[in-house]
Amino acid sequence: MSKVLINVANLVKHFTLATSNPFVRDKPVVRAVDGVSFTVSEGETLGLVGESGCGKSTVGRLILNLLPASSGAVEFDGHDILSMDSAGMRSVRKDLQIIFQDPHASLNPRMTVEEIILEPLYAQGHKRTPELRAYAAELLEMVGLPARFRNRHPHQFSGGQRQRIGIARAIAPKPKLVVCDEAVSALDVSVQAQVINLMQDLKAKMGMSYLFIGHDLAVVRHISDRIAVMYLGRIVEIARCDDLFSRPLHPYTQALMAAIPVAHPRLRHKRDRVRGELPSPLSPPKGCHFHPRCPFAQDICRSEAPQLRQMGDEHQASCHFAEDLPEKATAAQ
Amino acid sequence: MQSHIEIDAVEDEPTGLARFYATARRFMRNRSFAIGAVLFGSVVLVTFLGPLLTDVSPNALSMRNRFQPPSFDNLLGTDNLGRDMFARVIYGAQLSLMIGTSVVILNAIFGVMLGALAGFYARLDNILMRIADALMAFPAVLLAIGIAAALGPSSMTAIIALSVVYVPRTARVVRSSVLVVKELDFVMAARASGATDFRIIMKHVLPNSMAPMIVQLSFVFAYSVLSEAVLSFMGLGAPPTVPSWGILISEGRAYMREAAWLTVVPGVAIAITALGLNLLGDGLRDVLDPRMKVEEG
Repeated sequence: MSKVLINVANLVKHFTLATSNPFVRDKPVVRAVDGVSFTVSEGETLGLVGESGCGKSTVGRLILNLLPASSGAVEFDGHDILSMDSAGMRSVRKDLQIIFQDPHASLNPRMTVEEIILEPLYAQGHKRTPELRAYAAELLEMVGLPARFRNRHPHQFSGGQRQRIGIARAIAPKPKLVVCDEAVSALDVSVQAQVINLMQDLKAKMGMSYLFIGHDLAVVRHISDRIAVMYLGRIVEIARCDDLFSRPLHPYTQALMAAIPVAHPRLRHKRDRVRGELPSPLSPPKGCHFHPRCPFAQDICRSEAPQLRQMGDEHQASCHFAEDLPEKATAAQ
Repeated sequence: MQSHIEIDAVEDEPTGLARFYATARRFMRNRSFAIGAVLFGSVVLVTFLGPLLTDVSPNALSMRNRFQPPSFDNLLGTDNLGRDMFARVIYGAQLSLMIGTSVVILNAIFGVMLGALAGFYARLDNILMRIADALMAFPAVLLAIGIAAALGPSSMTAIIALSVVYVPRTARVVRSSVLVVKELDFVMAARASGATDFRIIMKHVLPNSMAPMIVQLSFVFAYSVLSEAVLSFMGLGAPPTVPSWGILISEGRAYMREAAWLTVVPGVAIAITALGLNLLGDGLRDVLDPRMKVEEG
């Protein structure tokens, strides 16, 4: 296996809510990210899936140090990200880029496309030279936009085109890791496919790694080498892509897969949908976070939180009954 | 996205003179900007060409020609000492516009700077905005009168007093739009690329907070011209040998019944300037928005 690029260990982010009541001593705490660990190797794509509100975007912001983490460690390319001063961090940032979900909010409307794409380089102290401008044109061609569009403003582009501009900006400093925060969720399905393919081409060309955050398992499956499933601030299962789909070991993963629509009326299996709502991260359920919605919950699930356990080659799951689950699931159907 | 033909048509950006004409055409197509530019432009023109338009000194007395109504000899009449009102209004414009411009420049520097700092750094916000609250608790004109009275009458005093009054207001406006803009994704993208706070504020936050800023500054100019008139009227502005519009109104008010033109003429001059500037500011806000470019196709 290739070298580990980023190693996230026991990452925690708690948001303390402000209350207007001065007599409340213990302010409510949202455990948005509650002990998350994973690694991404060089040239690998790790998918991070989960319902909205499960903390997956927060993880992305934390490893970019755009939000201060409450505790834990992030080691990126030999640097301890969380303890770096702002000057040191600035020099690491060229290797660590992000693509945002909303292509309308992520591009500065006052700048031309060229300025937007080159902004990461200018921010790193590069001067505006003819070579750099030529590089901008080259980047535009790489993401499938004509170079002559470089003097346009973002509002003159469609959503998919803007996302391509956002991608061009992210790859401009030749980063080692790109965090794709719901990078295609805001796009039409047909455009999604184009952008995903573009991202795969670019990865092959430039040899970078992706942390691909999304909620659509089908999309994440398409691009990822490994997938981590998050539920309420914790990773419940992490495995190689094909392994996860052929042998899901956590009831939440199974439920997510059952929710993928099947485009055939007869083949539509009995939907084993997740019941109920995502519990409030303000007061997560005791024991296993998933037990109120789990069809296989036992007493132990209500009292004891399961740890991520090794369930096979590169396959980890945090369920007390992970060993028995495949049989149970087939029995239920 | 519009049709591709259109896109290819506006391909290469024009350069030099052609580009200037294209920009000018775009600006003048905005009706508010056009009217404002004509009004304010003529005020500025008259101000600087003033000495060429009349060979009469604004302070030349002519006791035989007191209280002459507007005529061909004295286009805008004469005052209680027989001085030509046309000359006096034209020369008065210099002082009024000088004060207005100075106050706007000070506002653009300090108001925008303080507003940006308060909006961007939550720690500074409380301190700066409580000071602003304290200053804004006084009625604008009362505070200006107080400061001007403490510093003694001069045009410099008027500029300082009016700046103290309007800088917190400008800072407020800038702060509120900075608060909105700094949360947008492209600001986070800039930070993720390693941009410094200074770069983020100058390149990303302020350019996108410009619309309310321009309108506010055009407001400040108009209000400064008006408030300077109030200060001068109270004897706290420039010494009376230099006629400013406010002084003209102040001097004329005693004869308002007999010679209305003494107050109406400088009053109208102030109104035209203020109106022109407000229209100009509104128009500028729209024209400078890159999103507006698309409509000309």
